[in-house]
Amino acid sequence: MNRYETMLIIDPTLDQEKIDSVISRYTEMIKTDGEIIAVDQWGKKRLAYPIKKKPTGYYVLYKYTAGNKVPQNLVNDMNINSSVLRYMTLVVDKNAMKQEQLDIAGAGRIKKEEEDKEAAAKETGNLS
Amino acid sequence: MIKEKKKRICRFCEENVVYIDYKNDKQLTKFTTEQGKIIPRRTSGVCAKHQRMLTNAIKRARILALMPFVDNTAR
Repeated sequence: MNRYETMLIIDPTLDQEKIDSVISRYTEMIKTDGEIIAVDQWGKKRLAYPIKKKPTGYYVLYKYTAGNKVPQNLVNDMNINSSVLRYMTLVVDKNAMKQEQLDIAGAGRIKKEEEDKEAAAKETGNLS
Repeated sequence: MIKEKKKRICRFCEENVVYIDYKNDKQLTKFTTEQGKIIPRRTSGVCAKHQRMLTNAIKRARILALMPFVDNTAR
């Protein structure tokens, strides 16, 4: 089991129902031999350059752990699926996971500092 | 008088960055020119290790149309 990350750009001219069906189709494909950690839907976004003459795309990001055959199955399916404009699958390596945890810890630290500042401000307010 | 050279420290090293994410396109655009070219490290001051991570991240972002391959102002 590896940790993977797949980003997908879906044709935004489709109905919302169809987009949802495409998304759920791949979540089910992953679930056959794996577990989903998160499915982030970025929604409609402007592309930096047009793909298939479309200026926007619907971004979806899958984070999951799965067996080594799952990504290949996904790729085989996405190659045929005409509503998928672009995809990319990456193995989330050690450093990426480490950075994720660092970011979480860092964000926590920043929040703590803010809380401390607020507390300090309250104290000074009380004093004055 | 010989001026002492200021030692420039890579900004990623300062923050102990171990991985540069391709999804953070706002951060990555700071390391490209207006045309979308990657800025060489002799001008940006990034260390070799982090420049390697940067180029990987930028190239990945380009594939996913988060960043342009070439950005012509007259489009």
